[in-house]
Amino acid sequence: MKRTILAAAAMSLASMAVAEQPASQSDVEARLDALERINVTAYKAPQADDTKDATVEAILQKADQAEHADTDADAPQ
Amino acid sequence: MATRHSLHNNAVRVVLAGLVLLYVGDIGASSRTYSFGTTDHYLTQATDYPRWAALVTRHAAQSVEIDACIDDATKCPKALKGYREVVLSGRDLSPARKIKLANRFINSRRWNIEPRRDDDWRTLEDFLQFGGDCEDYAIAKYFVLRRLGFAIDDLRIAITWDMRVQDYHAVTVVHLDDSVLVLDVDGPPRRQITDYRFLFSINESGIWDHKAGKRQHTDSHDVIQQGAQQL
Repeated sequence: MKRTILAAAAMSLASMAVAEQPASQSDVEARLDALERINVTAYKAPQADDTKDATVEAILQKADQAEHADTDADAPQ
Repeated sequence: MATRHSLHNNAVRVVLAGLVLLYVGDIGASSRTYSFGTTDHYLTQATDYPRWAALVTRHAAQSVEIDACIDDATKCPKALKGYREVVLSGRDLSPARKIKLANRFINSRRWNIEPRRDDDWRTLEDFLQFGGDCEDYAIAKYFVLRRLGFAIDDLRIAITWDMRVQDYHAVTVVHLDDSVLVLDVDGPPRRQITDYRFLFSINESGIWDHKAGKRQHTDSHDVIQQGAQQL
């Protein structure tokens, strides 16, 4: 019985050790190369978020005013 | 005989203890996993990816100017004035509202498509000044949320294959209350992630390979997209 448990546990340990083994340096380099080759250029039109939150809206409004303050000051009277 | 029996018992104990340690270690490692329907395999440290490492370095250099702007509005270049308001007014919000604020603020920026051969990754400050494309939106949201107090471990930029537009796409992913939120350019934060095939994810500490997990845990119900297959 104990031998069976021991054998099963040893097999589990061995399989975990294989699963947890860090990728080899060449594997890492190959995957980094794959990542580097990706051109992330999908076009998706930015869309407004319809789930309005009054607190967030107030902050965004302040941000917008801060960004356009100079423009407004420069506008012809 | 007694000695042999005792050795046998000790061996069993050692093996079982090892199993327990591995199990506990695995729990620790998975406290911040981003399964995305795959298993995320830690690939390497973030500094091993030159494009990202250069961006983080440039962002750190620009942070001097950003910090000065946040401390004193008169030192803000025009591009950072709105950002200053977001940081000052947003830092005491709940995490859920911070996410919503960052997502909306960045999604209101200018889309500026780059030529495919010149697809540089922009820092937050460069993005606020010039706009950018999808990965620049994702990077900008990442750094806004970092400034608003989110830990590195709670944020990643995910490189995906987007099923809807059939192209490579980048999104920001945030851990909130043991669930994962995807911040995309086309709407509010979402929990629905089936539109994306996750390939890699990155934060300031590491790079994770989701395709490696896919190879080991193939789900026969998934449709493998041509673009993703190339990886």
